[in-house]
Amino acid sequence: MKRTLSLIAPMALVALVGCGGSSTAPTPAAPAPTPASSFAYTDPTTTASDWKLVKDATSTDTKLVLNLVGPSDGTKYRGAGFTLKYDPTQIKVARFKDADDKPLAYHKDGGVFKDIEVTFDADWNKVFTPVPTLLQISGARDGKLMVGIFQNKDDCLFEAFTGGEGMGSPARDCSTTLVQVTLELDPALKALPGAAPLTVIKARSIPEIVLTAVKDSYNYNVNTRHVIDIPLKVGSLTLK
Amino acid sequence: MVRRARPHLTLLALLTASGLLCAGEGLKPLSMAQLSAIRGQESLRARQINTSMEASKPSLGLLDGLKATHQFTDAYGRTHVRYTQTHRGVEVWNGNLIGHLDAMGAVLPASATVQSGIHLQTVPLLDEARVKAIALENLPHKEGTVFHTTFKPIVFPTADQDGLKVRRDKNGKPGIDVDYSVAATPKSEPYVWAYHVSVAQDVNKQLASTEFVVDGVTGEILKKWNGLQYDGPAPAVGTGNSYYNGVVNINTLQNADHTYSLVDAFRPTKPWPFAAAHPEIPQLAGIGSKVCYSASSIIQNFFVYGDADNTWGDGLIFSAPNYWETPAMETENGQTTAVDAAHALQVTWDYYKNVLGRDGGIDGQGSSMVSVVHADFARFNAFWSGAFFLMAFGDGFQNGSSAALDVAAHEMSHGVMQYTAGLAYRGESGGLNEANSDIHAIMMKYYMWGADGVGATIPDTTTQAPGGQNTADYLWTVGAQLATDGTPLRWCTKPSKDGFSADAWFDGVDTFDVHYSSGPGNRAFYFLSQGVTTTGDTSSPYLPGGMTGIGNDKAIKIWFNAMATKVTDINTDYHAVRDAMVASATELYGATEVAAVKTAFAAINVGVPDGVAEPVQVAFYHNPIGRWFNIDKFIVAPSFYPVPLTANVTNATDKSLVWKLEVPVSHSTTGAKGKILDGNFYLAPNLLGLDSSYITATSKQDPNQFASGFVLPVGLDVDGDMDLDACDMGALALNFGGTGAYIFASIVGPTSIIDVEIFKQGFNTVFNR
Repeated sequence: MKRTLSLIAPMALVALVGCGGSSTAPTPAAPAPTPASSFAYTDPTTTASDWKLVKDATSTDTKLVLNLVGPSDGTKYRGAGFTLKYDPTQIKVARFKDADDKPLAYHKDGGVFKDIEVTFDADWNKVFTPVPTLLQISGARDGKLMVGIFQNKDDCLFEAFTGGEGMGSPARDCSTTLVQVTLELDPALKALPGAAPLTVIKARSIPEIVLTAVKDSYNYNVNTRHVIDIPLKVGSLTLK
Repeated sequence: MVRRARPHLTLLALLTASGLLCAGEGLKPLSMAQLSAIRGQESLRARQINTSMEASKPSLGLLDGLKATHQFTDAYGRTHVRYTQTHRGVEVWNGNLIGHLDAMGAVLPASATVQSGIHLQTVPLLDEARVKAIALENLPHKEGTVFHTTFKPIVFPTADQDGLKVRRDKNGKPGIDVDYSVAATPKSEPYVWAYHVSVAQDVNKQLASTEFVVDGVTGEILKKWNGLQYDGPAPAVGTGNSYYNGVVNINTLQNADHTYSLVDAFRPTKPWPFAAAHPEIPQLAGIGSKVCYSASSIIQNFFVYGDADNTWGDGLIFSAPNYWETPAMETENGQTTAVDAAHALQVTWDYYKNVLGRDGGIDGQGSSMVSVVHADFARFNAFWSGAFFLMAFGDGFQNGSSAALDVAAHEMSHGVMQYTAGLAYRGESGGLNEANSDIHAIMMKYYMWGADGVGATIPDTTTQAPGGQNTADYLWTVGAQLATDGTPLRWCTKPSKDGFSADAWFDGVDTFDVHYSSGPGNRAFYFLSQGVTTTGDTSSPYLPGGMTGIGNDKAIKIWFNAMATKVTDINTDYHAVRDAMVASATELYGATEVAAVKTAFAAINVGVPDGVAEPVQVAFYHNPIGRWFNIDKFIVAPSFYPVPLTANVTNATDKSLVWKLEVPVSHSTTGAKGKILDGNFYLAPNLLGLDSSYITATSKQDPNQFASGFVLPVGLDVDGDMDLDACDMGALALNFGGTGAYIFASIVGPTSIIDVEIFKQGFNTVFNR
């Protein structure tokens, strides 16, 4: 009852001030909805061959750390990348920071993928250690968070021709955290409670078998060499 | 604090009689008798400097040692000792100091570029053979025969590490300098153990020289550059019939068999520095600067010119019919170019001694020079090889020889530069290195054609220029004698007349070939000497009111004093040279000359005269993407996303810019790879492009102020799915991923760091700003 009364009094005052006109009394402003103050993330349901984005234990109410985890079926890979679509009016993606609070990249390497130890090989015209080893990058724009971390498989052609492993770093088991990203609940966005859809619009990897070579009468022909699409599942995010 | 030693009594008397001890404005050149007396004490004076420098080490920030490398006494009686900083006995890269002692024995403040805070404790792990192998594997000319290498451990400041290099080549074409780009990862530590390796090769009978700095632990190449800077007998005097200089007297050597060699044993006091290391070339041993030809290549099978009657050359263009035709080189006709070279280098040696007080040639120590003429019928250039202490003169010019007076002086001045300021041969410092050679070349013309190569001053007029061309338009050029129509290689009055050189400094001039980024330096010196007009080629939009010059003699003495005694940082840029020139003018002369230096540099858009407000400046933002890719003027523009164009405008109320994209002439058939719209650069979808375009940001408030760089359109959709994203890096890791293919792999090998850094640069441009 008290609430009702307190609303009636200002309404009467407005009516008095407005006398002489034909306008009706304005509708009182609705109370501002309370912005969301926490995340609720449910990990996706997956199979052993799926890739997934799962919540990391270091997450807080306003910071969601997602771990990219590969399949648990024993398949090995040489890297992974994905593009995650989000609504930038609801949430923001955050950079990791160093010990001095200096912003770093949008991703944090989980340490599974390794540098290639390139050795000096004059016969193959290798320059001494110029070959970058672990290639990784991340960025964000227009509601898309992009992350990629890949082992440089530079000598795949050599490997295909010789049938050997070549000098590249071997494929890795990916069933643990490969890379992390962070979503933040930014008070400045004043996002309302409700669903905050996350959508994987692209996810790719480098498989263990990169290519094969087929020898015709005259030449070797490489018949497979590409990144492959991978089934990356993301859970549901709700703002509360 | 200036410490004074007790002057030698005889010297004191000499100096007192000269009035040197009286208070006055600036320094005065000493008489030959005074200089002789001081130079007689040079070793003692150098020890005094050593003592002072040792005592000053803490205040200079030096934690370890100093190694004296050169000493000389200048025309003002000041003795200078150059030092290289050392750490645990190893030389420190670009740790350079100069100690000074004035004529009266007072220690002057040292000039120094000190690399501070070195705490390296480990020792290099790679041995010499491994490091040399790395260098050899990365030579830009793999087909050549290596005949000479040097190897020196150093402490290297990683801030000076190279990465991807871009430059506008001699045809004005912008692009990546693949030969001299390096691929080391950025270092977190400020210093590393490293090796400086020099490799000289015979490449198709040409001398190629490549310098490396190799990480002593990892073997990464940290820096790489071209080592060529191009462009019992008795002394006797021979008669030379030169092509460029008429009949000249040249110092020669009479042999025991009464024949003569084209060897100047009069000036040098030491052998060629590499004589001991190359006993297989005995003809280059002994004291005496030698003019040679080669029977088979530019650097092998040397023969010193010989003659029976000590009358050399026929004064005519060399007309040999065949490449490396030894008999033709030996003829009187073949000697003519040798006469030109011998004469030019001898008088240039005297110019440095008489006018600038550098008694001792290129290294100031009297080392014998070696020059090779008829170096190549096709190569129309001349060059100085610091790694081999050698000059070469080709025959490809219209007039059959590059050994003209100014060209020879230019090349020898590269040598002197190496042993004074040592400016690195790239970027702004490289342009200044080139300008230094051009400036001395022009002063040589005034000295020879205006003063007969005699005396201690450079006149402001000439009477003996070829063809009676005693005009500034002719004299302030380089290489005008080489072409039959008299078209010079460079114009100092207005460098842009060549179609490539810059007239003034701007942010981005360092991306020019050094022969074109020299333009502002040449013009600043011209302005200082001859003044700035209010109209015409010798006017400047940065100094519309003009100025009066101070004349050749003062200008060159200020310049040389700055290079020999003030500049210690090998990466010195235009603004720092301006400061060194101000210090030099202050030391040698007075307020009038100091003001003239400031005004002359203001006329090339470097600094301002006293009391004048700083002009608008436009500069590209420092690239934040990482030190390895530290090219601020190089915008990597990927497809699919607009690339915002930004530059920093200071000293302006209106900070707006006009952006302009310009397709180089060399790319005119393919056109621009994109367009500018509303401050963004748009690349046509997924175009791969090694062809850069110029991009210029000009201040709306002051259209004379601009920055100029490149935009490199790159297709980063490596997996070919018509999008740019992080998954493309996976395809890049495979190197041959899909239809998007590669970036630079075809040039530099499998998924090199250049590919990756270009990808990162383009990706970050659109996703991480």
